[in-house]
Amino acid sequence: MHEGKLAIRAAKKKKKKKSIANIEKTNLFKQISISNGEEATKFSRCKQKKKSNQICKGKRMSISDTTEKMDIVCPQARGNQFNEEIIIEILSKIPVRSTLRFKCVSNFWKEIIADPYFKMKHLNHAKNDQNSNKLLINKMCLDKDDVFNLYCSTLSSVQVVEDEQKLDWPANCNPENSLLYCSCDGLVLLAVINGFDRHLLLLNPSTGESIVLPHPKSEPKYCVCGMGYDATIDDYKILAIDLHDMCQEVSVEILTLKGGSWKKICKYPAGIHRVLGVKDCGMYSLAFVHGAFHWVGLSSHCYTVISFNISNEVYGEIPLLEQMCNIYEARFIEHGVSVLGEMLCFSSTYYNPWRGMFKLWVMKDYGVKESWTELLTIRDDSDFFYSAKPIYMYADGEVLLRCNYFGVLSSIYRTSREPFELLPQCHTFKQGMVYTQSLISPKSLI
Amino acid sequence: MSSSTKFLTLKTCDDKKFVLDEAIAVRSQTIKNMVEDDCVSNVIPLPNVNSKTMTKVIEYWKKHSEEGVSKDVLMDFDKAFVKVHHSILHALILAANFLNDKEILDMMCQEVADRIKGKTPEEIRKEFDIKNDFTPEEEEEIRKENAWAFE
Repeated sequence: MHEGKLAIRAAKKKKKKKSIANIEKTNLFKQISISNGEEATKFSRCKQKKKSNQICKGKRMSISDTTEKMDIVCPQARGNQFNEEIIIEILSKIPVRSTLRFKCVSNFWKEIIADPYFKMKHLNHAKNDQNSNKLLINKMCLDKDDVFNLYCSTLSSVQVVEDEQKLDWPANCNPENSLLYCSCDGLVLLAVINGFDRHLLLLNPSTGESIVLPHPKSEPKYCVCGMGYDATIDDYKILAIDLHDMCQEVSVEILTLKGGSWKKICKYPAGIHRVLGVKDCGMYSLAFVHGAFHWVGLSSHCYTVISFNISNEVYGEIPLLEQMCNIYEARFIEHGVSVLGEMLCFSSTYYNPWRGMFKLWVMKDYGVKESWTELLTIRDDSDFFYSAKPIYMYADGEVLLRCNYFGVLSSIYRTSREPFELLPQCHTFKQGMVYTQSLISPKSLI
Repeated sequence: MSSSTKFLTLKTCDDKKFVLDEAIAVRSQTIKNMVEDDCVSNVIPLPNVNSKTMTKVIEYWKKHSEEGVSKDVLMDFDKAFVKVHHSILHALILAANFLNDKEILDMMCQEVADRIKGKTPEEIRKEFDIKNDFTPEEEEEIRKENAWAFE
């Protein structure tokens, strides 16, 4: 399980930092043990004072540096004098919006919040905190709008979600069409389309920062994309597959963010046919987990999951259980892959007149066929349900789903246990995707 | 490892002594390092920690070292543990930092984060005794850049 480049950098830095801190602490300890309590208090106060004057990101000062300042007369040590390390610890647990506001506190705090090391630490905390996740919604309400708008909302399954906040498009583009592809480490990959003008954007919805990425050759409308971190080269990669044109050979392209240009992957696994998703429920985003992108294919009348390793760029296949890829007596079947709680998931929607059924499987042990476990089955007796895609898994195992119904243009969000609607029902086309709130700047990744 | 329980004596800055099972005291990485480096004599001085704070720390250590205590009980204990006046909270953070106890430090910093996240920069400066070293123009500039965070 990788945590992204940020995590690795953070870990390295942290390790270094910690070990220095430990030495410092031990030294401090030895030194202090010969002095009395009052001096020691003075000592640490001076140390902190110097730290707050000199911003030393990531570097710890040695004891000898601080002892020179021992002669400064410090006031009574106060409980609220924290050193840089503690302030970082506290601020890394604070939501993005508050940290941006706290840039105003002092130069010292501003420097901390702008520091890449801090941003990584903040992201890594956010990744493990369910409250840091938000739903990004891209929608066009046909009754009111003629362009797409971006919104974010909380993910709480308990409260009825009404706190939708409108986000600004980068550079004030008001796209006629827009597609969300995937999210990764607090960033969202999306396409904005105005006629023939199309852009691929990497956006941090929490800070509004974005960059325009070079475009793959394929038409964005027909691409499925995924983004992941390649630890072997310390870079992010984006994979785009054009699954639309059934006559042509499948086009597969890959972009390394630092490299900045798309590269064609020549071969596509032989004997595997492409599978088109209906609307966007099946296949807009590739499932990235365990260092590989995944999507659904069809090999000799049986569904299969194709994988593409991000580092060595080699194809593989994830075995499915027989009962997962059986083609039931159904008028319509759709399969999709996704990632929930770091696990690869395979979902199927079966539709027969008068009855729809959705099944979700998770692969508990990556690559082990026997570890596929049925997570949930939803039966819908309305005549409308035809497609669903898992979006997110809550801490208690409940799953947020995006469902499509016949006759309803809009997707409907509901959890596996109870229906909950996100938006007033107007003729709305919308997509939704979960992202982690972070301070990471897309510019820092290219 | 000897089977008999070893005890350590910790002395806080206000000269109070705490006798504690070594197995519990080594929850502090700082103390653990000292024990491992064999630089523990009779009494371990804790010049940065007062007895009131140390009592709280030991209360936490003992609860979390109890055998057979359920997760729910610990969660309730932790919830109650962090509900303290902010001066004690700050003292506990400094103590946890000095003792290098990541668990307490993490929990206490989370509590501070939860308490301050809704505050204004002015309130933060007051709470942390921080001097505003921006010029009014500089401050205005930062507020403008992050206007939505102030709404």
